[in-house]
Amino acid sequence: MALLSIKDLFVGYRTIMGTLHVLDDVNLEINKGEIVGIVGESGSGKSTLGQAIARVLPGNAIASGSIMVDGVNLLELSEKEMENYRGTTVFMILQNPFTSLNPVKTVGYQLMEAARIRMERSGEKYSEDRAYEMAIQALKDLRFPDPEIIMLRYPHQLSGGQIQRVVLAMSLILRPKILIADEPTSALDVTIQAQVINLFKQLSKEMETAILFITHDISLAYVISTRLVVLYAGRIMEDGDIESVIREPMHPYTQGLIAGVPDLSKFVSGKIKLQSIPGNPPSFLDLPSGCKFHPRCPYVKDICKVQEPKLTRVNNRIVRCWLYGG
Amino acid sequence: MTEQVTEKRRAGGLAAGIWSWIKLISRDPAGLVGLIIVAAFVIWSIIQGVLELLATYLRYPRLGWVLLPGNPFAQNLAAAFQPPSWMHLMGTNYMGQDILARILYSIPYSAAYPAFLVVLSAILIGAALGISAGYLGGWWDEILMRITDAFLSVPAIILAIVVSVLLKASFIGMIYSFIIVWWPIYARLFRAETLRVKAMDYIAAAQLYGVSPIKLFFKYLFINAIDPIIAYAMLDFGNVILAASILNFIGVGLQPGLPILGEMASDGVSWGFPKYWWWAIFPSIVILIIALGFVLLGDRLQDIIGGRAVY
Amino acid sequence: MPPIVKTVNLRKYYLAYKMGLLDRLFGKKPAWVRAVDNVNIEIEEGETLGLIGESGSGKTTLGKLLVTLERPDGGEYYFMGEKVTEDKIPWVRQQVAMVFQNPYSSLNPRLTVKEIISEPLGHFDEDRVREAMEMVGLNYREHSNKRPRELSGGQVQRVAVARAIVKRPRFIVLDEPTSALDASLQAQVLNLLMDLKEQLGLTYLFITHNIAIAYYISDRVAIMYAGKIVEMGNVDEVFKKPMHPYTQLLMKSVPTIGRKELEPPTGEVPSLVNPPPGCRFHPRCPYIMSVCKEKEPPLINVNNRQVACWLYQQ
Repeated sequence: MALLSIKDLFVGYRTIMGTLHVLDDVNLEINKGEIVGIVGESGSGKSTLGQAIARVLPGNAIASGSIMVDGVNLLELSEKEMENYRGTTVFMILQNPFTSLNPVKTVGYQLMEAARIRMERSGEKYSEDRAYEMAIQALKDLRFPDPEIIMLRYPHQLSGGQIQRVVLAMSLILRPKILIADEPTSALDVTIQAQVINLFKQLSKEMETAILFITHDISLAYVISTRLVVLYAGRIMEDGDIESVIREPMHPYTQGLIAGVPDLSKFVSGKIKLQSIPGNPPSFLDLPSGCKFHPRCPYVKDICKVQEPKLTRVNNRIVRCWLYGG
Repeated sequence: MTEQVTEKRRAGGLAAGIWSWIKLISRDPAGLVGLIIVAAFVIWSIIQGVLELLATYLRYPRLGWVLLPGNPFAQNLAAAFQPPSWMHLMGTNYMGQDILARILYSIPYSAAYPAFLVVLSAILIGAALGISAGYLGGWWDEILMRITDAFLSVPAIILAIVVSVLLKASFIGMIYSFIIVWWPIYARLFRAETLRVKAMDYIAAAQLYGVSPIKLFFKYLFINAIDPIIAYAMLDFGNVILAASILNFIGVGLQPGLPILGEMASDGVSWGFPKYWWWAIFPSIVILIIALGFVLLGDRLQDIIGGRAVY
Repeated sequence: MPPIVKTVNLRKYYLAYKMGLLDRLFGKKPAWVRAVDNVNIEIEEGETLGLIGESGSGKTTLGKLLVTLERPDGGEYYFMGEKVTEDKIPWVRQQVAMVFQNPYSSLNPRLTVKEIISEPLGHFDEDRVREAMEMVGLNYREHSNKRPRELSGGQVQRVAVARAIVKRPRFIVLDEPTSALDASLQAQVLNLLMDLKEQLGLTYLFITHNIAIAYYISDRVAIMYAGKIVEMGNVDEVFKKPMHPYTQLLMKSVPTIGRKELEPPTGEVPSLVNPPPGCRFHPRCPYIMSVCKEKEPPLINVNNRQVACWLYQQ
């Protein structure tokens, strides 16, 4: 039984130009303990997907379909009902560390706040000492050398990497069932990013949380995920086990992405030329007919221009392409 | 998402651009009200202003009140202190002059000219000083900031009053005194925006590629800094109108013979209140509505430019 | 044939915070950010030197110094064999160009594409602008009157490149030119840059934090840490056999397909205001010795490599 089951998710935005259709026909199932890498370029809708699951879409968004967690459709919950799910069922880590934490409260206050929420939801009685303990332990697990001091610091006194670790500490305390990480390391240096990724992996093993790791960096997705989902123009194009997708990508877009990504593994025997996908990703105001990738696809056929393929299962892979039926 | 929408919106040319601004502004009811008031005010000021100019130039005074419900100067003591009626929609004053006609006649120079002249001058002076301070930095920046600090520590209205009185100001004199004291905020705003723009790579690129200082000032600094200033200026028109009316109310900057909004309100209060309330109330309401129009419009513009607009 | 770019003990320090009137009166001590601290590099004509570093390494500052957008506080800069003094700066600027990281903020949003590309020329020259646009793959008729916000990220960066080459410079500094671009566009722009280099006989300083991109485009690389060069050499050799501990750990921190494990260094990126004494990397170095805490290792030649580490010298 999947922990998170998304069926026929559609998300659009009401704008001055009319309704923008962003996500369409999103069907995804995620199990406990899986780390799913959601890879897409800017304008693929990947952030929208994360926001939809966490129910933090902007005011002009409209969504339909179902996002089922524990038998409940998150899309149908009211704001009040959703509050019970925030933090302990679904938690989100954002890209910009400097806007993630409350700037006027200490780290300790915010971590203990998370502890209080956790205790309430588990039916435990709130105890300040216990909350403090939980906070300190979480900071220790995240390799902070002086947790007592960090508790007293304000966010502006910390570096980007430290803030992301504090947010991770928060998720350690909250133990959410589903953790959505939207480009959490994009703003960090390579060495710090590597540190944070290692902590991420460790946490996932300990907590059995299902993690949706949203990124534009395939190499990064490879290092952290067990499964890869490729998003293009608001649709899932491919979904499968990470090693197989990378070694044998089925969808032409995935093939193009992998052929173009600068990754050291390609250069083991010297420099080879990186292939690029011709053209540009489409704008949501002006989506192509049929398959959204057809204008850039090297294998385009007539049917691709007219009808959009559906997600089909081929062995252990899910693909959206007429090359594999649809 | 929003970048794509903005792209499409702005690709259409000037007329299309203006129309889409109007649509954006109107999405907010308050903004729409402000837009209507300001549009009416500006259109009226232009028409009436041109008529008055022609009237003076052609020495044909009647041109100046051809659109008014009567001669604003005509006295009719028999009809003094008339309450609002079909003949005199806003009543008459102590000399039997139609109040509505006097209000409409005075709007261009009581409100429009001061607002326009003062704010425009403030923008020009503020741009010159603020942009140079922000861009060049160093001693010039420090000196300028201390000067603006000094000005800003005293409310502009008080300063304007003091200068006006010192100059024994006429109406024009009052406008000059406003111009002297009104620029510091603009200098501050331009300086802040210049600091933001200066940090942009395209300024570094312009320096590297040897763009001439004049071009740099106008096409790189000024034009990229001006957006928030435009929104603020819109609000500020209302401020100037209010401030000018207040000064006129207390008797500063008057022009004998010409009806002036603030003065009418003042006279109405001194000689007609509360029995002949219309003399005091209508000019005041008109001042209020005009100022309010600018505030509402300016507020909405600030929201749009600041990215807080909700579609 | 002298190298096209050569620096000797180049230094650039910034004030860490603004010192107002009162601060000066009360004798507050200024704190200096040592962005570039005694850097010696050489770039040969026709090569691409990849300058690799994380944030706070000083790499962008070094790039700006080489195009004279910043003036050094110490040391010497030689361009085409000539020492660059104040009066030589216009001459240098005639022959260099820079491509910045964020494509949208490097172009004046109020100008059209053809006005932007003409910036280095001082006046509009249709032929040269058209040629530059064609070389970067932009259609003149379609795009020349557009404004940056009407273009996509990849197209905007191409405009920046067109502007950089329009007056045929000798040397171009590229500061993370693909970091803000999507994955599928990075290869396009990188390939374009490499083609242009061949066609026009250019020399590049390519600043990046992305090791894989640095490998793809560079002939030699220099690794920068806390304002200093810690390793420099042929890109194949440096990456296959990194000598400096920082380089080694950097290589192990880069996400690479086929290798699931990352082994980064511990600790934070160092402060440039109060760098650690001795070797700046010592707090994070797995091979630390006592000399490392006391004395800064000089950059020395070992075979064909330059490295600043006590492991390789006494």
